Amino acid sequence: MANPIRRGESGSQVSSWHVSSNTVTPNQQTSFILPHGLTLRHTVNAGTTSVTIPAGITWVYAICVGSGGGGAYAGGGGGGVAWGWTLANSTCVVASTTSNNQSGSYTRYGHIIAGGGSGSAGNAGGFLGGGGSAAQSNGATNYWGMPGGANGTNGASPTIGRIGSGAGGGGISSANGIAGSNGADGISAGGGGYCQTGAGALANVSGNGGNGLTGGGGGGNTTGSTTSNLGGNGGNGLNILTGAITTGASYSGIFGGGGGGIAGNASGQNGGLGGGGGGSNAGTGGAGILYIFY
Amino acid sequence: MSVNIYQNSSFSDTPFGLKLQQTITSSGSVTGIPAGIQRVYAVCIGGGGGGGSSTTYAGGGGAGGFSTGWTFVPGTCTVGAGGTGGSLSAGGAGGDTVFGMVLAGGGAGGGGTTASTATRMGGAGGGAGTAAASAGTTSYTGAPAGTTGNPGNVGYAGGGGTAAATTGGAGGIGISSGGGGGASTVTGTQTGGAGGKGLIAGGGGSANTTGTGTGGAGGTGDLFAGGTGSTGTGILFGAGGGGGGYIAAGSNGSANTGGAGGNGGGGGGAANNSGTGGVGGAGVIYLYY
Repeated sequence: MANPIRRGESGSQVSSWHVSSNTVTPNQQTSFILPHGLTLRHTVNAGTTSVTIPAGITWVYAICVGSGGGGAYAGGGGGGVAWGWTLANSTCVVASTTSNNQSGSYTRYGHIIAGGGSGSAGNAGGFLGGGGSAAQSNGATNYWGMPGGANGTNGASPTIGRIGSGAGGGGISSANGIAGSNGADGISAGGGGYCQTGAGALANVSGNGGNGLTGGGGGGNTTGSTTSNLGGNGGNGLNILTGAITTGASYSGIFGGGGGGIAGNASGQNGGLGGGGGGSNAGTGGAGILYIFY
Repeated sequence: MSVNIYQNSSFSDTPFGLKLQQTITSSGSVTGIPAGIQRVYAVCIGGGGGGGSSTTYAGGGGAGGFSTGWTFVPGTCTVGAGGTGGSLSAGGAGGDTVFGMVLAGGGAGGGGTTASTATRMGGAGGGAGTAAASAGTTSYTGAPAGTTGNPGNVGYAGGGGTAAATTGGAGGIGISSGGGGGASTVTGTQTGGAGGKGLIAGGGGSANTTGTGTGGAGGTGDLFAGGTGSTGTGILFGAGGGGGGYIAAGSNGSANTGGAGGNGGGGGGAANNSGTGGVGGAGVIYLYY
């Protein structure tokens, strides 16, 4: 009797498509979250709440990206990313753009869910894979249980955040001439720190956002130095459909740049589409996005 | 005996293209899987938590956990029952659902005279009554859960809503969402907290007032709606509705009796004024191969 579940590569002998010898290049793509061989059928943006999946398609592969955290002084963390197979569903929730200070929101399809990046102050912090921000919460553990990274320490000798699925934000400097620290790299990067007081003649520089699939926002809005106060750059993101870098924005004066999202570049202080963290001084976090493959 | 995985024709990391072959609704022996099928892709849903009960207000039950994955074919399986409705107590926790190495915990019972009962493995938290709410629990994949609050916090399994004056805290949003908290004031217009929204939804909390009381609506699931809370003037009204399950809608609250959670893990609605909380929706197993 013929094998009832044979379906191309995955139904064939494993050794025929992923050989054990290291003398040849396997024909399987090495991307760890993009589902090789499937077609992107739906790109769903914030505000859309329904998806039509054709009859007969039982399982789909979803990539969910939460919105980035909003910036204030420290940069916001990148939005969380979650991926996996789930049963086809006609409803969805996609996170909207995040306003100043606030932490990002979630994107969910079926039982795949990604949280928002941490905001710079105010409400509850990042969750479900969201990147951290020094003025708020650490990076968060994601859907797959991959641990989040702690924020850097604050003070006269601030430290960079720790790597994690949701990476930690950079520490906040309390001393003139000592830069705020950078956010850490991760799947969802941490936001950059800033100089909290920093009064004096030495130049104050804020930390850059970390790099990841979703980049963190740059810190800034520091005014303590009598000579120079500069924000930090936003971290880069990665467009997983093309492999291209999505760029974080450069600082502008005292204001930090937004982080690149998974689907778009940052624009000034605002994070890019697909979870880019917001830069300092009211930068918005990039809206979430949902990709569905089958 | 030697084993060669290359000869296992079911080797694949994706469920793409698999077909639903069995729906299992009761515990016992596993039968009917053809010879040669050594691995199956299982979807497990735990039982929903039962609604709480006290002499005044109570919390709704949390939704049952939702887990998927490949597993060997076990000899027996367990399907979690819905948690019992509380009777001057917290609701019972939903039962765990287990098929091989795929496990989903039951939802927490809603708080009543006693605190919300504990849950496991992706089960959502129960709302607060006169005693405390509970948090959701980490999922099968390790996804974090939401803590209690007003509203309960978002997580793979949402946290239970806390009790509050005028309107109880809503249950936390999640794949499995939390139960709503009770409305804690006994005069004036009061509304129980709604169950959280999610793939599977939590039950509503209750109100208990001499004024106009309305039970919290059961949470809206992706597939099925929650039940409405009962409403009217006086303490004979105000029970919460059951949360929407994966298989069926939640039931409406009636007078001071909480609505049952929808079949497929919906959380039960809370009772008020010494009524009985709604039973949680039963769990289920789906097998794809």
